[in-house]
Amino acid sequence: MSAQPPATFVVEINADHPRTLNGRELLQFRELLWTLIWRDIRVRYQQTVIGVLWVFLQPLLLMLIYTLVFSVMVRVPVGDTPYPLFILAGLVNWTFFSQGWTRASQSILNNAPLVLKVYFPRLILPLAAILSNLLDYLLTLGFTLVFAAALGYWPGVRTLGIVACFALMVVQLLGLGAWGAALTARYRDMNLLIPLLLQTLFYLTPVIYPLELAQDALGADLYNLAGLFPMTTVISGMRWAILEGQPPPPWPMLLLSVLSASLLCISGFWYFARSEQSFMDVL
Amino acid sequence: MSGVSIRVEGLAKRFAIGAPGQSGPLSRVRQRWGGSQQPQAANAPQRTFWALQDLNFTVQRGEILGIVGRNGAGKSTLLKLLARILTPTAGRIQLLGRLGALLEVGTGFHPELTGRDNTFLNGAILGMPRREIQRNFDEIVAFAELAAFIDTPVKFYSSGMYTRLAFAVAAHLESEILLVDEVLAVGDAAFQQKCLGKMGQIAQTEGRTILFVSHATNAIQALCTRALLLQQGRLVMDGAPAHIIQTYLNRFAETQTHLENLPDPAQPFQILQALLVEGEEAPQRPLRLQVTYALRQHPAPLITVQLHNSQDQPIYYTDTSFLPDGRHHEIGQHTLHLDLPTALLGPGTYHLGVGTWHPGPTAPHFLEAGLQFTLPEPETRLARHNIRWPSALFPPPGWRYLGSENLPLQQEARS
Repeated sequence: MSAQPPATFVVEINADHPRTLNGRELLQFRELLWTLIWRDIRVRYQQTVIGVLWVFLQPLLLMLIYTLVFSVMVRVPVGDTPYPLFILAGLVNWTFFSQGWTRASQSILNNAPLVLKVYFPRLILPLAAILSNLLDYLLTLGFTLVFAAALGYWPGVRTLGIVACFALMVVQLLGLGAWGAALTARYRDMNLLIPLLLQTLFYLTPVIYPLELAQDALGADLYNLAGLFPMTTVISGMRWAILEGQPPPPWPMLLLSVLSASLLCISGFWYFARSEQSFMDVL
Repeated sequence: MSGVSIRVEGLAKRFAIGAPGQSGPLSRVRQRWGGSQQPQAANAPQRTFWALQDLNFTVQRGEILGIVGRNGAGKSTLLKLLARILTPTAGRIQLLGRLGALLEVGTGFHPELTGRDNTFLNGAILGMPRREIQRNFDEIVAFAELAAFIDTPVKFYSSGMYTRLAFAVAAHLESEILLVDEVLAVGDAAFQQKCLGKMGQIAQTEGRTILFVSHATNAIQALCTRALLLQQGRLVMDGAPAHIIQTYLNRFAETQTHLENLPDPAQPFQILQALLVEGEEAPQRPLRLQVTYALRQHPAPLITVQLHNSQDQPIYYTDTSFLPDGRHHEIGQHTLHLDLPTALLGPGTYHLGVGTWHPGPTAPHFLEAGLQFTLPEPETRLARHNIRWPSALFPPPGWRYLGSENLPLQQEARS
């Protein structure tokens, strides 16, 4: 009766095994990850008239408003760089970050029917939420590079800095997304808190102003501590990589932010794995 | 040994009873600093109950295992543990093979996406590799009978179309172990039959293991090769489906015929006693329900009565809005009689639910009273040959002889 070959796929479920982050299992479920990313993108632009054009329209509109306020009405000193380009290089990254964090935080709650009825590594949900913004990000980043080139800022070796900054941003996002998703599932307060935190962070990080402005105001020591905030070094680093003439973030600040990002990511995964089992009870 | 598909050892699951969000670091902080809001919640010991206890069984490859039990017996908890949605409190489970769980129809369906997109989405969620869905896609669409609408967003589907598509995807899951919860309770009967057929066929030809939870005892009997009976979280029987179902239906019946509550003056309304009494006219024996209740405060609810057959299907309902006398609305203690339509019913065991209903959008609520009675096999020609009465009803026979005629035409035709 057992003509079939023995099963190659064996799962052990044990009461006394606490769940930990399981990379191999994540890899097994990568197909689901792709499908969920594809679903998010698909649903976002379904039944929209101008579809993907929204990707460009949003940062362009914001660029116009911020230029009007911070370049025409209030004069923020940004060196030789034209302000529209300066703000765009910051905004594009900020948008990826803020949307990624918001969506990742809501991912468990919004997919409650899935979490209650199907098993998969739950980390896939915040991951998919973050990665579903990647296409938008690459398109707008490309647009920014073209815009910069049109104004005479040609890409060079320095441009590779984008990759390093992006990596740092993703590590920060993964940490924050894991924390946000696990906490939002249990405490709905997070739905109100996270937009507030994002708003605060938007002004704390140098999106609309250059980093040196903070240096002048705070002094060197305090200023380096700003590296602890997510996105501070990412945004000024991105600007340095895209726009010639913008200074890079100082080394102590960079080190500090790599350190804080790693801590954030590790602690986020730890807390997520710990809470994963109780999602059933709180959703 | 190589034929084992699922091995469960000492499995147990305990749940905490209480509002969610009452535990966890932030709540503890709130309880400590938030002062007197919930002083009891902080000190009260957490109440728990065991949904499953000390469960041991193995399932061989190719078996179709039915899981039977009353509500709250632990059937769904068991499936969720196997599906890894819940983690066990004790014990271990070993699954040898890829597992697909159908705990709900159309999990993850997105209304904005087309039938085609949802097929791939739902498939991926159930754990089907994309290649597998692609290979089976045409068959799935044909099975769902939705070829014309496959590129329409599912929000425009009727609920029947939606269920058919969801089932079609699920029926084509190629995992070695398939868990099926109550999902077959929805959808039209013909399509259910088609799905059951497909499942049975796959289990037989491809050696797939199926675990099937259902209240539909006839489906279990038709489909399963073995069954488990769960009662209050414990495995009480393991064997042939027909035998298990018989035991289940009998146990379901073994309860009191008498419900009594102590008077509690704090309650505005209370059913104090409900019991079955024999009617006087012996041969037809219309059983009577006698209900005594206390109304201490207006408004009075309607008293509701529902009769279930042994398959747990409701077959009769009535309430006191049909009682012409108005005195039963007055404050005080009252006793009512209700003639049950036993003269119409066929043999079998029946359960009676007694409850209340306050006018509003919620359905009547019935107490788990466990009032039950059994009507014996009628003494008919069939019974003398040990053939059971073949229908649900046994009303007074309505035959009448109208007279005789000579039928010369027929006789001519014969010759």
